[in-house]
Amino acid sequence: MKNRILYIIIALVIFAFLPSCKGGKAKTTSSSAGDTLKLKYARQFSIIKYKDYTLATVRNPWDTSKILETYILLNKKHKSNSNLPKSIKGIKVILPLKKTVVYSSVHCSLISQLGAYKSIAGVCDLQYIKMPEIQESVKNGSISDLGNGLNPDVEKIINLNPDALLISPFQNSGVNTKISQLHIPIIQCADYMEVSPLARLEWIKFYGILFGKEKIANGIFSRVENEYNELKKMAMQTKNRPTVIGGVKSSSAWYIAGGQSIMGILYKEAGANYVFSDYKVTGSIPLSFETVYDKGSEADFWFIKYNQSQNKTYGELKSDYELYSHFKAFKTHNIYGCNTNYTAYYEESPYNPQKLLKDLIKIFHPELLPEYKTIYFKKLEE
Amino acid sequence: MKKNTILSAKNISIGYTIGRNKIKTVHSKLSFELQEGELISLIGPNGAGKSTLLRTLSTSQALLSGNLSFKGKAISSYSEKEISKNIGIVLTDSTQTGGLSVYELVSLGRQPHTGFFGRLNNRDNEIISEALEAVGIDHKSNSYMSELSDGEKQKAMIAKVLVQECPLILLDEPTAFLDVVSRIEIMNLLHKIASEQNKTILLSTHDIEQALILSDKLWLLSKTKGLQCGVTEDLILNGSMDSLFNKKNISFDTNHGVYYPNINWKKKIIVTAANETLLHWGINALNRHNYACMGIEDEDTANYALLRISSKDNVEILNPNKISSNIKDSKLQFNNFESFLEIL
Amino acid sequence: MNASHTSKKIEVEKLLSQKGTKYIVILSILIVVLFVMNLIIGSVHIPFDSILDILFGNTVEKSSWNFIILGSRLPQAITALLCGAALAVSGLMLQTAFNNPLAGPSILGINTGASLGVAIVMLFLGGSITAGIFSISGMFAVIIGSFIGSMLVLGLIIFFSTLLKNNIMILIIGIMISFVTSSIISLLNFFSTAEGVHSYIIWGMGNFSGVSTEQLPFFIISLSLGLLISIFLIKPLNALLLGSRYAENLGINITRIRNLLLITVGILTAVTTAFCGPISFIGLAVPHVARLMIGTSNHNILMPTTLLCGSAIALICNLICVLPGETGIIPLNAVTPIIGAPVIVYVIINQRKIQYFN
Repeated sequence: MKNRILYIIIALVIFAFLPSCKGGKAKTTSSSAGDTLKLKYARQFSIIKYKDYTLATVRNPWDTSKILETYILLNKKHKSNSNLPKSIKGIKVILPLKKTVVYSSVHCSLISQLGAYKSIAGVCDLQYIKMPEIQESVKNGSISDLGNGLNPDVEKIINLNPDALLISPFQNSGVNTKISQLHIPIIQCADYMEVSPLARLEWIKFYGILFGKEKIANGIFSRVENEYNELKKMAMQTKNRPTVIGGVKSSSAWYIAGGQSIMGILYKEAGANYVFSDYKVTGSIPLSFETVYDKGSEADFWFIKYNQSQNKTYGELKSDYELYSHFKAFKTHNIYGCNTNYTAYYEESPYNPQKLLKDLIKIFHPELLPEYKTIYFKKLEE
Repeated sequence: MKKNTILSAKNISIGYTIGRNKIKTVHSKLSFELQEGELISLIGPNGAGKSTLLRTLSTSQALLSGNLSFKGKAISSYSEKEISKNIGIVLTDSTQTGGLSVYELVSLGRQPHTGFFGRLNNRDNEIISEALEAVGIDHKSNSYMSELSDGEKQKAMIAKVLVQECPLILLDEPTAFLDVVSRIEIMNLLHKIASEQNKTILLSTHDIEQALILSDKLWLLSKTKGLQCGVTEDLILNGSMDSLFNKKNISFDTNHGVYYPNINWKKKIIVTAANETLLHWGINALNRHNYACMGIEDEDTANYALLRISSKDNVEILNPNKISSNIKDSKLQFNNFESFLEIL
Repeated sequence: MNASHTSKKIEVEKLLSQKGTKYIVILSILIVVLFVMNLIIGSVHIPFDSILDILFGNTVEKSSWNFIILGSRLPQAITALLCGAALAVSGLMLQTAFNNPLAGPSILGINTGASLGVAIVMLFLGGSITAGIFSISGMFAVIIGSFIGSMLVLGLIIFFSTLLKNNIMILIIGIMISFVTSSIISLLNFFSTAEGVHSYIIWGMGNFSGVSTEQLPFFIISLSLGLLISIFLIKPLNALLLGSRYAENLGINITRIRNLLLITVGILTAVTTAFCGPISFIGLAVPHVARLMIGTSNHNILMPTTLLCGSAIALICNLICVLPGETGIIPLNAVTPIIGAPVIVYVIINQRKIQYFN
């Protein structure tokens, strides 16, 4: 009898410790002084504030049960580590960031919005960055051009001596060993892997903390969130749900965004019925022309994103693939295109989802926004 | 019986171009004639220009200068098609024909005579069957070329050239790599074709033996002496064969029609034998052991050993002590060559 | 001629014609069956009687089905049929002319030339070609780019072919051209946008759906022309089995035939690649499949068999591509090696047993 109770106690103790054994590079001690930041939508990161430091964790976007990286965020005055518990493991980052290398144009735009523009010291993939200020700064030398994001100029990075690199995890998977030897904190920006527009937007809080603009960040978040939800409420109150498809056929495959992708969610929240919403994936799937035609030939609206020196026309679409002209959206000229060569779609929309939503609502339910002119999607020319 | 001339050359130069402008002349001022119904063997050392000559005659290589006429007309005036019906070749080139049946391979020879797809009519099939029979491989006509022995493959190539129905056939070493049976069969075959079908067959060969037996004419080609043409026996008997290979240690045995190496003789011995055959082979063995042989009339028999071959089982050596001072007997007897050669 | 002689002759003739026509008949029936299957089977499930209705010109409940069958599946099946034949025949001609069992349409660099043309249009020119007021864009620009690219490489190859007598040299030139164009393509990709690279890669996966009903007549005519010329090359190809010296002696003008052959292969490959992207393995493997099947190198039978085999295999590949049904499709160049690679490996391992290798 005694032995059995002992075994049960041991089993319970083991069970209690199992969760903390799973995954992760860092063990977080749940000290009573830790104040977890409440996140409404985002799942890929978490922030816990302690007296002398803040712990930020970023989840692995490909296996969300695992932690990708833990950051120990220290204010300048807390630089002395005397108060840090020895068991905390993570990358030390001194805040606020003053000299960063930003790999993605999305974050350049965001940092500028936060008012921390001067913290950008270097950028990659300059040809994708639409912000005129960045182009100007690179010209006069205040921001360095570091080349290709997948293969940047390491020497220039070393020369800059930045206090952090902002990289997307997929770019990081090919990262140079030299860069990792530099001991510069690499901030894993897994925001693009969030599954909803507002979740992605919520990362602004993380960046706000990093750049010492927490208040501004929170302010922007609340403002945009409210605007977004207002728009959404307005759209959801309409009675009709126009049907919509997106994308074009590329060689044998027509890549269709899944029902749970950002676009899929946006279509729904703008008061439309996305024809492929029952493909419950967050990425894109290659479908045959037949399938798309079968399901979507009667769709009311059709959205195309492309990158060309000249805007697409109906004539061009038809010469691309003649059968496009059999779609209802083609016949009724309800195709909307976004030429990312000229609009800052990729740069702006992650942290301004309300603008994108507004565009869609204007297109689906024009009566709701009579004066508004769409920014990203415009009707295709003849 | 006077035969018709089918090919005649006057002062031709043969050779080839190196790079863009340089010309290498292999032979110049060659003149010769080829008659119908003859088998001619082209013999000479390696590098003498035999292949170049054959290629020039088959128009595969350009004539450098001079007049070459075929059936009375300049050869350059013939079109490709006409050449294909008049001059046929057999080479040692490797081919991709392993997957064809023998019949299909031979039927390729009919291409100059058939239409667009190479369709064979009854007459074509007859000619092919005849050729297969003539060369003796009709029993293999459905086998794959890859399944044939080398000799059979060569016969198939000859059959192919036969169905081309050319009055002149040129062969470049047709019996190289073949065993003696195949060699003889093929030479015989060529001889038969030449005489029975009245074709002109010119072949280059290193098989001197068979060439001398079966050729009507010989062409001796060497770098130093150019081209010498003539009836086989004339060229043999007037000593042209001797000087063909310009080497000091090779000689031509006019009696037996073979080349042999000169002996580095160290000792002499007198040889006598019951007949021509025994004498010949006795000398052969002794030469091989560096003994020069003399006739019994030549020298005084006292100073040298004497070898007397009465039959193939009876060989005697008199004065054997002249061979080796160890030997005490005055006469030794052996019953085969093996035992007697051990003494030497 | 005696009795045994003629009877033997008849025996042989019968054998020859049997060998050939049997396979041609079987393959032709197979192709018809596969063609029909390509109309019936697709990503979208359409009931058989509706298909019959559509083919006979009657209307069906869902008008989208009409377009799917007539506008998408029918052109796709025709494209696959002709592409397969064109590539297989090109491969056969190259293997014979260059005495190289591993030759295929890509070995001369014509495919890579086409890829370079497409890369320039997609990655460098941003998807459209403009000359003054005249501008072509989109898919059509890609087709033109591909065509020009292959024709330029073909021109180079023919130029060298008139200079060089040696076949191996020409193959090496083709391979060198391949390398150079590949490196230019890498360069273009490196400096290009993510979308450009993605589009280029997708194009490189090959597809049979790229020919619209408007472009179909041009496609059919140009490929049929090429195939017709190939048929007329049967006799010289048989002569080439003997090697160039024997072939010359049989009356074949080697340079002229080789140039004609290169032009024909060039056109067949250029048109195929322009509309369908670079398709791998069919040109290389199908001639071997045909040779193993009929057991002869005689082009009288081998050429038509290769042609039909190519069509059949292309139609089979097309079917495999749509297997996932509504959940997606498999790219073409992922399917062709599945059929092609085992054939090549089999041939290499069994070299000694296979007659046409010896």
